[in-house]
Amino acid sequence: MIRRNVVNVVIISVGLALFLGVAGILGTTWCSEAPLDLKQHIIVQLQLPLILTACLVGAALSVSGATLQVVLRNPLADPGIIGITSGASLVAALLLLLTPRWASAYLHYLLPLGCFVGALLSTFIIYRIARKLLGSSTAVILAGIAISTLSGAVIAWLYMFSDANALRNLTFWLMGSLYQTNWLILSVGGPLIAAAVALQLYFAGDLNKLYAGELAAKSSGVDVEKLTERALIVCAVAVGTAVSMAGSIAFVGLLVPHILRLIIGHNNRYLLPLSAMSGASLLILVALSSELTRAITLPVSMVTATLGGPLLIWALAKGQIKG
Amino acid sequence: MTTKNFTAEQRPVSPTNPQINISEDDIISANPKQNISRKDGIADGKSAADRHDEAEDHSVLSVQHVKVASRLWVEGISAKKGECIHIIGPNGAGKSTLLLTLAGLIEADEGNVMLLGKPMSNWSLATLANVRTLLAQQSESGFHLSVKEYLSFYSSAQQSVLIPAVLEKALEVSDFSNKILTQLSGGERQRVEICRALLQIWPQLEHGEGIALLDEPLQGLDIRHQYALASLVKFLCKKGNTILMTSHDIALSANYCDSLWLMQSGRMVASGRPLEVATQTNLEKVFECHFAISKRDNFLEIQVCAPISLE
Repeated sequence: MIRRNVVNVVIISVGLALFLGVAGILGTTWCSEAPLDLKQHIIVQLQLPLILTACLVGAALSVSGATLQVVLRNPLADPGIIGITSGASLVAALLLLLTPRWASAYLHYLLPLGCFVGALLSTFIIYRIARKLLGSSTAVILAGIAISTLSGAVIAWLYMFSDANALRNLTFWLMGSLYQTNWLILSVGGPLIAAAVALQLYFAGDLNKLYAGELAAKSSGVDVEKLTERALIVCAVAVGTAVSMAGSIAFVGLLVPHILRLIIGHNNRYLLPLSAMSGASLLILVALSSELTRAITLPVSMVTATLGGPLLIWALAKGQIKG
Repeated sequence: MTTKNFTAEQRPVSPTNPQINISEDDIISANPKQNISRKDGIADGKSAADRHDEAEDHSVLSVQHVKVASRLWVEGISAKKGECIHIIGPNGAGKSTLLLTLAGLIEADEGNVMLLGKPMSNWSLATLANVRTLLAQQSESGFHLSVKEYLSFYSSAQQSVLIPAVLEKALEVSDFSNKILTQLSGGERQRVEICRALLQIWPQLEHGEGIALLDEPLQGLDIRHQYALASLVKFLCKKGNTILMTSHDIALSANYCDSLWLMQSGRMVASGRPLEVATQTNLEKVFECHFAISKRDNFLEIQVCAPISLE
């Protein structure tokens, strides 16, 4: 089978990118002139958390994007578009701009917690609205856009009334950053993301049957309502955790599954694990480019959107011509 | 039964076309005549209790006093093992609702639906999936996946070939198995959907133990594939499978089924042998236009002769 070979080639090349990225990041320190104990400190306290964050966040966003697209039966669904990210962003904005000075010492931990709650809350609200509207997958997307717009508006209002320092923090947060984690945050977020990603891989077989529509999937034994509900919750957990670790990162959830589908097809048993791998490698490469341009910390969204925009246009054009 | 009768029955297709004749012998012996003896009209005055006893004997699917919202109200009807049933009736007669109820995907507000002697509420979606399949009318996918990949998600793992020879003979989907689903024409897409639905329970269908509920499988098919599908359905029923399909082609249905069910505004108007159901009175009452019906050998010729005037 040709497909099998294609999948193998993709696995190898993505794995290679991942390896090279990690090696590159570690290499920047290892080959520097610093004394050995300083090198060790930098690697253990800064670069390993950076690598782990990039992998976890990239995997979570890409897999959730792929799952949401199938569950909502819309190739344009993305954690950002359906509003999971926006709830987290709103809470982050509120916390960054309104936290009283005495509590700011705890902000480092308050922020991820708040974002996580925000993501779950907005998913819950979106799902409730959608069920009231039509109960259909389009309704989820429409409700998501409504919630996104609303929280975007609130964030814009907050901008007007905040001081310069908070504003800078917020801008960085809204553009995403892989440098906000430490081992404590990772020890909570890591297992959460790993579990959420594993659950999505477990859904892969049922997700495949959804391509034929709700009735056909039901007829073949898939409880569509239950699957939709579970998948939405699991995606909210994955994306919520990712956003609380690294801020809002655009495009990864939309871009990675789209390009992969063009190459390896639509079978979720391959697509989901490979989405996780590719998302991880993509953010590792972003982290590497950030490490190489030491002087300035690049906002992640800036890089992913710059790379992602043209790639998405290419993917869309190729998709339209080929099918 | 001679080949002459068979070709008479096959009339609208070129009878010499070897591609469409799915195992001629099977179809010849699947002639409705053989089934006449074991099919007593269900619509006659039998009490519900009698019917219940009958149901316990050999009925695969049965409904009793079933009511679904304001769309369906069926007193009692059943499908026997190996029976080929075509359901006809005007738009909105409740045909699709009946099929969905029989598939266990719509819960009846009142009454019983029994599948293989067990009430529908005792079946789980997962166990149902291995016993019966459903071809629904709506199905839209915005994803650009290929026909081959799409079908592979629905075929059981132990199968050696993706599309069994019999299915390929009737549906001819291999020609576009590498094409993208969204690029197919309406009829091609419908053939893929039928193939998908049957693949879901193919191991059962091969053993003659499957149940297929097909909602307007003829929709969009060209004339050749319409009759190929009707033959395929008969062929599968002959093996012992039970198939119910809705149709708007009365002339085809009357000649390709063991039982014809006639529905109107959510009710079963008549059911039984096509000869008894597709009568001038029945059809004109239900469809509100004039019919010319004549019987030739084994072939029931049904034509609409005075359609609705627009003035």
